[in-house]
Amino acid sequence: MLLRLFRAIITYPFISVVLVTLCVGFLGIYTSHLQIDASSKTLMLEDDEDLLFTNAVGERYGGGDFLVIAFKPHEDLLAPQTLNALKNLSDELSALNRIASVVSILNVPLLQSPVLPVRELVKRIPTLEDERVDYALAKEEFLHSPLYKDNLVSADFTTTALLLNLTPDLRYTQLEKHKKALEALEHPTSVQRQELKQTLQNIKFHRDAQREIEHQSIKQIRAIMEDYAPYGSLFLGGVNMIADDLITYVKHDVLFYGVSLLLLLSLTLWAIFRQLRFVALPLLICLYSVLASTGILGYFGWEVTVISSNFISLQLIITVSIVLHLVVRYRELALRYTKTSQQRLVFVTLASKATPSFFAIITTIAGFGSLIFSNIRPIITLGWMMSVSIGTSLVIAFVLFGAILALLPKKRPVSTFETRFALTHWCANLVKTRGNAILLLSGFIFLLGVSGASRLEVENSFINYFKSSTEIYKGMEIIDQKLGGTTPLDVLITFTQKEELEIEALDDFEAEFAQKQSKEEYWFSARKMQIVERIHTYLDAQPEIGSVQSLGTLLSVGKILNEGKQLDSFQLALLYNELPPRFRGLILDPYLSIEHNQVRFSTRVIDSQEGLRRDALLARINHDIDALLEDDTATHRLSGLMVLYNNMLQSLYESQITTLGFVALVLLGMFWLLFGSLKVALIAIVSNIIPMSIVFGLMGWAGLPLDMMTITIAAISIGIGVDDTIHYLHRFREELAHDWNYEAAMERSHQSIGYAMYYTSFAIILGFSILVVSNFIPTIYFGLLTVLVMAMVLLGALLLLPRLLIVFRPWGTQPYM
Amino acid sequence: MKRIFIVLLGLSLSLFAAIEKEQIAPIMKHKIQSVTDLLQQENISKSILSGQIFEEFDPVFDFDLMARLSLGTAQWRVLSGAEQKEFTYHFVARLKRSFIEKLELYSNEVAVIKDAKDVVVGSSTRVFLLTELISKEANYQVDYKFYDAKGRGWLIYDVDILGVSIVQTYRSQFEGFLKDNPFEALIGWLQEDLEP
Repeated sequence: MLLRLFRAIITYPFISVVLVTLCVGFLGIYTSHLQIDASSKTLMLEDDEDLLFTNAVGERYGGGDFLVIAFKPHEDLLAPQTLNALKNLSDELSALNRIASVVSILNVPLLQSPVLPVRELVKRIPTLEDERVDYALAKEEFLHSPLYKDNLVSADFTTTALLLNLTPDLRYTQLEKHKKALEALEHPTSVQRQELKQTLQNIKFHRDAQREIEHQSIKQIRAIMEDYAPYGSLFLGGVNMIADDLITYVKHDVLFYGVSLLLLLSLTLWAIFRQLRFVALPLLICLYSVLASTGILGYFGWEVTVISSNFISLQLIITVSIVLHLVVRYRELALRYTKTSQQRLVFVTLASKATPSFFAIITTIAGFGSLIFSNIRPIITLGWMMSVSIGTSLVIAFVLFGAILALLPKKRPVSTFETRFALTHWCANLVKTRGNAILLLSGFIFLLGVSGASRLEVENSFINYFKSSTEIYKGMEIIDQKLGGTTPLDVLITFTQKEELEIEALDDFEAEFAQKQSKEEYWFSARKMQIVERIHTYLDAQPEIGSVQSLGTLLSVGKILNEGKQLDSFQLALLYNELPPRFRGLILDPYLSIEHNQVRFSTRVIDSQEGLRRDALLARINHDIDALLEDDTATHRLSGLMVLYNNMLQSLYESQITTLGFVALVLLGMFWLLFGSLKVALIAIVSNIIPMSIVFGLMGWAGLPLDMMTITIAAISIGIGVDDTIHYLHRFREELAHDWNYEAAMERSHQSIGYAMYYTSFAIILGFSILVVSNFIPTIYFGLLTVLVMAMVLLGALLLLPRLLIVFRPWGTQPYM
Repeated sequence: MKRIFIVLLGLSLSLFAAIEKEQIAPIMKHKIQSVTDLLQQENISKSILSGQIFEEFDPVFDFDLMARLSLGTAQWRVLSGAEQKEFTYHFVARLKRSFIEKLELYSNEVAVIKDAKDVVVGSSTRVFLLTELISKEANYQVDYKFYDAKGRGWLIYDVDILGVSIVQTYRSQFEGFLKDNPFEALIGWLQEDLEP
């Protein structure tokens, strides 16, 4: 069947090329549908309970998404021109649709300038914009008030923050709720199924539209900021901006490094083959493959995210590997059978490479398929993306290679490179003469790898994604270190529901007071306030946490206003009743929901802190707050982006670790199936695991954490690694059949397939080293790790694998009878 | 000093006169005026001042009932007689301490009686005396709530300041506190210097 297909390709090469071109052209139409999404929503777990909770908290307290501008004026912070610039800047920003409100030093309530008794203060709370404000007092308040210090202004009073509250995306929350409700139905009717489909569609449309709005808003904000550059330096920060900038970086890197990779690959191919056809053909196949797979992605509406942004690079690796194996095989045959016709040579090349290439791709698909078991949409998508795109590559490579070569006249291959760089010779010699050393070294490497892998950390720090010389890094650092941190983390304390007061003798007094019982102002009891203060003090003391805002902040301010004495419940009730609405929305409502008997502690984690261990931090906070609440009847829960990202990472890590075992088993089964021997399969697995362990070991020892971008390296290294093993074993088996001499078979394999493996790795290593000059750290890591994986896997396949074959002789020493 | 003595004497005479319903407004007007006069005196120590104010007001407040209402009838009945007495004593002491602390907030406000209205609560009638503290910037509403203590005349059982009831505030507090703590702890808490 397959052979007939190859024959058809070679017999009708022109038609084959046209057909492939038409198919790719058709798919190419959909490349315009390809979307890149890096919003925080793409990084959430599919069914994360914490996500629903975080959304509910956002709705309840109105603490939705926000951006921060750090403004470091040339003049003093309270100088007239600075305040003037701030005022105009705030006004311009407020006018943008996406911005609900702008909070700055201009409009926050000044509760201590001067200090007045509470009941006087609530009558008229001044702001900096009031004429009668004493600036010296205001400065003191900004620097020392728990409401503002290290949060709205930096400790050195040179930098101030503008908090841009974004209009909440209620439509999205509504759609998500609707989706959840429909998904929860046990026996949905066909109408409901249709409705769910429509809702999913709507969610996607809405997100796409939102993303564009977000991007445009951030552009507008930056444009406005630029106008104020003469007054001082301005930096934009906040989770939404990071997401938006990530897209920009990813897009830039995909484009720039995609092109650079192709250029470098061409140079490498030229250096190796010295024939234009063997440069143009692989490049053409790469282009066709990438075009086709991005078209498929667009067609299915799979979004490229931060996590899957490497998919083009990955596809290039796999495609180059397929094509180079074909090229090397063809050249080998052409050099050996000088009299055979071109068509025949091409046919034999295709036929002899079909099985190993097919299995290599299938195992690679198994490697990437492991990603489908994760619970994270973008990772699942990456799994599908890769599986589909390398499948596409396989088909396109075989058809185009066969058809185009069949169209070209026969030419004697140039083999100067082989004679000049004799890596495979050298490897073959080592396998023969230093066999035990190879095994010992492999054992040592394995131990090193395993011990390093056990030190692996899972961390995702957005600030560390960018080089410290970049604007985005500088902005994040200022906001992080001077203005109270970046990643939102909320602590919610819910007091146990009051039991209805049981009134035994419902006399008139009891009735009168019981009626009032539910009134909001009587909610403030000393017990609750003690808990609030306790938790607030605890959170404030954590070095990883920057800003902490809660009802506790108000209590501390109240204490200052009350001559160092705590506000009593009565005064708090007065404050609750009398506080003007515009300030209530700023200092009370975001932290208190009497209706739900709940208080919220809004904190921001300092993302740039050295050695920050997010998972451990969350665990510690959970544990400590549990202990703090031990005697009190209240429960707590954490929410916010910090929790969501952490859930995603932990789940990713677990799924990667658990699926690795599963993938190894699947591979074992495949090797067994392909080579008909469990012994061979085990040898193949071992010679793959050892080079891979060194990658993880190195990451562990170097303290390089696994994050959203690098965590897929496991799947990638499996995908890349098994190819070499399969091709080598396949060839070795063929060579062994000639004389049943394992060493000779090894030498012959090294001289043939060894070259193909070596060229593939060489081309890819050279190509990927370009990624190291990126500004985007994940791209750099990805480049380095890929290079490392390729080099290790090549050495594993050329040194360890043949040595194991020679030692264990898995096919026996006799020809099968 | 002489003056204070005369005031004290005058007050002690009025101590034993039970207030009739119709007298609520005029008597309170007089009392509030006396207290305002006291407050406007210069150079008078806080302890003497507060002592005089309590002399003026004690007869019209039913502190025992306030203590009982603040604790809630259900809780009150659980206590032994001695405990009820102990609680009342500490509660009243605390109420007064808290009042003294707020004295320094006073800055020349003048109190005006706005209205005395009958309010029907269940099967009983109460009288709410609506007054206003008038200062330069704003007016504060203070309502004194009277009930008919039969033989003892009409007495105050609660005061609303800016719409917030003192008794209700304590009720909410004690209820929460006693959920997690024993009665002894509540007494300790009442004795604490810290404001509830």
